Amino acid sequence: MPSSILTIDSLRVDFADVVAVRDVSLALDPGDVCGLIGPNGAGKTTTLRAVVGLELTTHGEVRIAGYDLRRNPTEFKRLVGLMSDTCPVYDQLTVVEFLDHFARAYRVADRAARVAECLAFTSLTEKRDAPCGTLSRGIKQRLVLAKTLLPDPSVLLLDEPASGLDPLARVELRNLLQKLRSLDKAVLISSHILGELAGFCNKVAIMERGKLVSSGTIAELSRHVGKQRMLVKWRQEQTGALEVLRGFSCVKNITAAPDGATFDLEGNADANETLLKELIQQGVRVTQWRSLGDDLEYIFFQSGAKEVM
Amino acid sequence: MKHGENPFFVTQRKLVHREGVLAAVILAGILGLSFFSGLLVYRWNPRETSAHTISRPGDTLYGCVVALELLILVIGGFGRISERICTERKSGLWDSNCLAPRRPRDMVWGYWLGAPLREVYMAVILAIWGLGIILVAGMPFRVWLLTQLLIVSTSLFFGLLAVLVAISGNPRRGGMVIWLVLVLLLSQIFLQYAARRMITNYIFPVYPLAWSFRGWHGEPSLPFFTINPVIVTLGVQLVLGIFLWRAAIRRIADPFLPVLGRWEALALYCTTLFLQSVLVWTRWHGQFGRCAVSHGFGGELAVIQGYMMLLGIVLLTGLEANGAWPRRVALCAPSARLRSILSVSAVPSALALGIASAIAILSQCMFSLAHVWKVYVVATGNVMSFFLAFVLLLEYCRLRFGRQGLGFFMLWLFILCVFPFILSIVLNNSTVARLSLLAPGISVLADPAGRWANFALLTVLAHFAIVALLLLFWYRQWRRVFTAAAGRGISH
Repeated sequence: MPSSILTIDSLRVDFADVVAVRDVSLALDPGDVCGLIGPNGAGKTTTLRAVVGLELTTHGEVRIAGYDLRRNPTEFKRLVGLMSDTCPVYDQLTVVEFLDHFARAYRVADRAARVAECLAFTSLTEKRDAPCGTLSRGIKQRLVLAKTLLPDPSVLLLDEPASGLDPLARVELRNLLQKLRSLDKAVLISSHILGELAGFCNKVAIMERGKLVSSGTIAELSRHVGKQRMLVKWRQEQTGALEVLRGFSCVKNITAAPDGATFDLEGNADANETLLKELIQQGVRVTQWRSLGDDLEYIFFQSGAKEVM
Repeated sequence: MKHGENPFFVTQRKLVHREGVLAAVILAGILGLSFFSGLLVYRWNPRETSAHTISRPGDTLYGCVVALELLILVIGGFGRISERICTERKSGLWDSNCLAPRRPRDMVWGYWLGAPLREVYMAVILAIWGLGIILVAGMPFRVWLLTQLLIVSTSLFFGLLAVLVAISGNPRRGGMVIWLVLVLLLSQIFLQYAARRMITNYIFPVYPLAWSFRGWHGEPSLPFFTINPVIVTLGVQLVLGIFLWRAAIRRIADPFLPVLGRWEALALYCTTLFLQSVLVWTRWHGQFGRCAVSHGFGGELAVIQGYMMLLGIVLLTGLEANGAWPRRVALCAPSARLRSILSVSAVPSALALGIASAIAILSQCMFSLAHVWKVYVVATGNVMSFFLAFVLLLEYCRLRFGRQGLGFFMLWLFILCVFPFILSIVLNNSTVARLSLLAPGISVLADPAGRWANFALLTVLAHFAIVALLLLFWYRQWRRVFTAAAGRGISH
């Protein structure tokens, strides 16, 4: 995979009584936003920490743009940013002083301008002179994200970025993360709350008990699952439509609603086409017909991961 | 790089200033002023002060200033650095800083010089008042210069030690180590036995400080010349400081490596022993046996033996790999060969330190070995068995009990080393105390002409039997680690 900006190859981390990360391999291209999902204790945080060298790896290799942490620590560190879930900040410093510290540490050129840019990106300009110790958890999360973005890293590792946030802060953070997609960075974002990741991840890696159960683009995973959850909506209540659906053996688990239904569709694209064609021929006025293949929860539970989140 | 551009220094300075320095500076000023005014009062009206019986009140008052400076800068600075690093390690800020693409030395400089700035300001104020006292009392300027030089070098040395201790130890138990180290070093103030011949008196420079005032007990005499004790202190602190610096740098670059490399530990131990042997050489000129038997004194060598054992276990603890390392080696090694085990174990280093100790003791009695061969065998055998038992026990407990390992290790160490002393008090029988793993060498060196040599020899043999038993348990535990690793299914 020569174009991959982040390559994790057979990464393994052993703790005293458990293999925390077992032979995890993953590759991200620029612009990829990959959700690392799994239940608590699956090894997501350990994986992210091991990528940047904060955990001792038993074996495995991590490369960022071809650089290895042991051989090229400076280049490697310059290209990666880790946002920890604990929001470590200097309570006595102001927001701008905190960012200035890391701008110096990363030798950022034109520090003041870059700090202002990151403050604007995370909507923290108004808080620039507030002491970090007085900030709420949500704002601290944004501040740590701003700190992570300061050196303009090519690879971003975000560890449970929305943990402990209230719903409003979660929406704000979600909007921020969606903005990151446009920056053409490779983002590996861990979470055990699937709703956080839905909508802006184009790749998913599912972990369970230290193992990567499956990974790939959402489309690939949907295909791998072998069936897809479909949503159909029609203009008005039409009982005949449900009868048409029930008439197909590849349609399972129908959940009816007044204006449509969701159901599992087994089979390939032909089955999909045939079913839609039949509905229209039977006079059903279909207003919406789409796969729920990007429903991460659905993929997760179909992927073979057994633990309930 | 200038410190003004070092982000870690700049931030530490900001944090110190943000927490406030004015009150501390005023306090130092008031303390300095009180000493200075005490001197002025004496000068104007010497008979009305309690100091009229003291021949040189300037000495006394400046001595107080120096003691206060040492207390603030060395002990306070040590505590401040380690507290700051431990706090940042707990919060995760240390990790964030480590991820920045900076050289590890930038971090060491930043915390070493930045965190204790409040203490530096206080010490500077006191030093200025101290200069005032020196000038008013008509004391030589040299006294001020030498004492301040010693204070600066000592605070730098202990500051570096604080950085290393704080980044290496458990951040939640950092304080315990700090106080242990300081209590041991401050004991020098009370243990002025053979002051100018003990290297510890140059690491924490009680003797050179006293010498700066009054030329106390003369200068240390080396084999061919005498030397200024201040120079000895600066040299010793510089040499040992280089090892501390290297260890701190390596630990920041890779937090999973042991604090000391094998060769570094051995070099540090040998250097310290060499310096100590040189300092004590003129006492016996290699004729310890003859002098000791005829005059019945050997206390200095007994104290040196005690310090050697202490330094040895500190170094062996530094060599002891992080808990994760043995597992990693076991997982990556193709089989449970002794060679694979020894490649990660500190046992070979314990043997090497034991051999170095044997050579150091030999240097003191090489021209009269026939008189004290039994004492020599006991002393070297005791150091060797102590180091081996220490390492085997530490590694066994780490591997066998995991996180509870340190507790079990301390328990066994207590039983083997301290418990005999308690029993001897309870039973009112000094022979029991001599069974301790610490006792035989020190007791026979302290009284080389005494009747305990044969008993000590038997005790050392018994200690080696304990070591053999520990070796068996240790090897079996290592094999279990390898077996468990094989069960985890790494393909080689």
